[in-house]
Amino acid sequence: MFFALAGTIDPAFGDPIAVNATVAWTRDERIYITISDSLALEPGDLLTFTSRGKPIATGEVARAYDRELALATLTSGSLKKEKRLERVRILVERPPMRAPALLRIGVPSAQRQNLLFSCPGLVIRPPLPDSLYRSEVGSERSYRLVRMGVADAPWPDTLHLRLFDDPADEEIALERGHLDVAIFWPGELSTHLRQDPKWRDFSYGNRPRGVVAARAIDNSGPGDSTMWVPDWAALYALNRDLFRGDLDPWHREPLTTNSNLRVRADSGTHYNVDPALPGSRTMERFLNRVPYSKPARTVRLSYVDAPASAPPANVTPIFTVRCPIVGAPELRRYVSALGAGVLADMLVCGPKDRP
Amino acid sequence: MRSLRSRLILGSSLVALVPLAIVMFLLSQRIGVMMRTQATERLNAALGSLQTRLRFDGEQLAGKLRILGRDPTFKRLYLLRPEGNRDLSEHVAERRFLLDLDFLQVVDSSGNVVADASLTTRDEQEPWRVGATQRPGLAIAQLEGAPGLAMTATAPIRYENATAGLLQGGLVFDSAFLTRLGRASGVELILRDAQDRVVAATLDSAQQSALPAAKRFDRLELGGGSYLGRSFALEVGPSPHASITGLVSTAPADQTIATLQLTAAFLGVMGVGIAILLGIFWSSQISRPVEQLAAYSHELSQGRWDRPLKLDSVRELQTLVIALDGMRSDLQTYRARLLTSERQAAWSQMARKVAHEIKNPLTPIAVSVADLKRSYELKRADFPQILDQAARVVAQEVETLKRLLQEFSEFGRFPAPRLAPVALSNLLSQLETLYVRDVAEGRLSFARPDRDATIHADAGQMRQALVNLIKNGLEALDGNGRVVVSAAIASEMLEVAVSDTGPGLDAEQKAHLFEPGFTTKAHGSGLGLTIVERIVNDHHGTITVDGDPGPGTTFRIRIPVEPRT
Repeated sequence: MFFALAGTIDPAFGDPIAVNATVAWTRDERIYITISDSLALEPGDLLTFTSRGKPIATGEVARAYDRELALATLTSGSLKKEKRLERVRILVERPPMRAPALLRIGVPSAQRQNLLFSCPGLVIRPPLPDSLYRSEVGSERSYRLVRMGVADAPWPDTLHLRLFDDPADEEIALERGHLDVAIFWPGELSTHLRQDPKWRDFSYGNRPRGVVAARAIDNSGPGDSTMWVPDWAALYALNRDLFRGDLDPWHREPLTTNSNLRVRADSGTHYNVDPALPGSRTMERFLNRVPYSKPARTVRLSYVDAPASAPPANVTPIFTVRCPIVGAPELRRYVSALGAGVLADMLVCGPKDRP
Repeated sequence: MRSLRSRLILGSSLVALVPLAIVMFLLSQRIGVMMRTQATERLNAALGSLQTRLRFDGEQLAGKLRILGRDPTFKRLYLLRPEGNRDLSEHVAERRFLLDLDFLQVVDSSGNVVADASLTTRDEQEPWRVGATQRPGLAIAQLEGAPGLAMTATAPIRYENATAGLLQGGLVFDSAFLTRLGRASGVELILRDAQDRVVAATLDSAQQSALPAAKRFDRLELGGGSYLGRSFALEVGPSPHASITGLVSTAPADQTIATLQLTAAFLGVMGVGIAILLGIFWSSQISRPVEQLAAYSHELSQGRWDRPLKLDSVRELQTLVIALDGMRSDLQTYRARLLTSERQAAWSQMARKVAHEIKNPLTPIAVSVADLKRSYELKRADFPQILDQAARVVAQEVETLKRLLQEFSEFGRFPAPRLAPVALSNLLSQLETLYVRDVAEGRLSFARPDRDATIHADAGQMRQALVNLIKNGLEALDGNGRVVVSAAIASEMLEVAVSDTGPGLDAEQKAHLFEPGFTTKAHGSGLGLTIVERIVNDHHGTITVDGDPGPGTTFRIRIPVEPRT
């Protein structure tokens, strides 16, 4: 079990600040607000409505819709007397984050494998030292980590971890409200959740280990591999189409536009994906879907279980691994505060790891 | 059937008919077996293909539902139901259409149908309904409210390794479905449920009602047609299983066999006709010469050997014709030689007889003359008496010689009969007058017929023949006894019988009775009965002698009443 540093909550606001938002419509206690500011309102934010510099009412954001519309409920005062609602100014104050007593987290089970690796020896590593969390096995498919002591970190008292064999089940559990946070392997999160306004603002947790690397297999003699430059367009297309962009490109500079990601008609490269990868055939078929002219360079793609920050020198790192961390909207700030990377790092592939 | 012609016709007919019948029988049997084998193979192939297709459909159905049960979108709609059951129902309806199912429904863990996308029945009254099941897998279920069965597949909707609901979908097996299958396979199909009840068929209702209760049969007569049948069980789910029976019509085979039999009958009739004609022709070729040969042989037997045999025929018979004509020629030659020989023999015999008969009277004459000479030389006193006696003997013997020569003369120049109507009563009356003394003394009697008859004959010759017979009979009487002359007419023949009560004749005597010169009398010429036989023959009649060895003899003369040419 590794010790992980607990994330610290970075309060967004110390004092109330004005936001570029307008009261669109009121009905009883409910106030609908259109948001023009890039800064989104989030559920739980405390609002102060002022008119001519005087506060006339206070409220709390109940729901936010696609960063453009928010629903708030009045906690004091009233806007009924205001004839021109567009002149009402809105001050927002984000309250200090309170750690919930229970955080329900969905994680992939050992039976779930992704295109890059399987994880039959999956171990759940507590985000805090062992002395602070006691592990309790609830059932075959759930764990319970109960905090034993007091810590500065805002981790909840109990972490309830549920293992899912099927990512769809995990998504449904999240949508049904049976989970607060769900962790997915790269490429697993469905388009539905990625596009749903409620869920699309998910985070990525970078895995500290694991690199997708490439190595040119020399066809014409030694020395050529040092001259090899990855075909980034093909590799980024691989990330986009098969992993839905969940892999973190090692090379940050090139190719960010769609036009740059177009695959050339003949890259002159033949890809050979490490057969130990569960999705080797799929990846290989994708990468080699464009016929290549001979003589072609052969590039072997593999998954290397090495620190993401220090990949082996004999390979060219292409991607590091990120896990989509999807949380309920009201917990998104809390999850960010905990650190998506820490959550992703809770999943440790043990000795039975493949490849 | 005893004639050669009949046998030849029958034989040639059989030669034509029997092989044809055997060939046609074997051919029709062979073709029948072949056609039925083909029909059976077609049926087996169709049912095998159908069985494979249904099995494939079942596997596909189960696979489709399994995949749909794992589909995240479906699971999300079922488990979350963000807009209630409506979205789920629309999604299920869309999936049902895309998966090409007849019905598809979602059953929750409590057994309630939460979404139903079943097609309506063919009459569009009610959606297809099958009994909901909680058991995943394939099954054959009874349709509710409509005739037919359904192949259903049930797949679990899994959520967190537990069954959160069931997907039930399937295909309806009704008459329309069977019609589609039957059209593709070319066979009639009957669907029976597990209790062997017919639930759907491609047959019309009248034919369905005539179906046997048992599903196992090989041949079936239905609606005037003959069918071959095979069944296979829909081995889906627990037993007992429903079954599908396929029927393939054997009408083409039956029609082929019927046509073949008709052709065989036609060929048979034609063959028999040709055989009869050939038989007639061939038999004529053979029997006509044979008949001509037979007629010719009859002519030969009648003594008409003069006409040579002229006959054109086949080579084998021509040989016989030549041989027969040669035989005719030889016989003609032999007869001429025989006649010459017989004539010579007769003349020799006649000469000996004449000499013998002449010699007999000459001896007394010679003795009388010698006795007269010696008496004269001795100058016997009684010479005048002796002379008188010798003269009397010579005269008597000379008279005998005269009579003898008269008989021979008459025999030699016997004339042809001059036929004229002769009344039987007149003929008998003349005989009575001639033998009036014998009749009076009771040695001779005449028995007349009830009615008189007239014959065409030479009256003199007939009278002489009867006189000879009466005379022989009277001479055969030994003092006692009598001779009876009777006449009768029967079958256009006059029969005159002359019976005597004499000593009779033995077999040797009967054998030579009509030979010239044969006599049982001391001084007979032996020509009497020969003359009688000749007269009778010249009148186209017959003469026979009855009687067993012993006393009594009867001669019967039969002469036709009407003259013969």
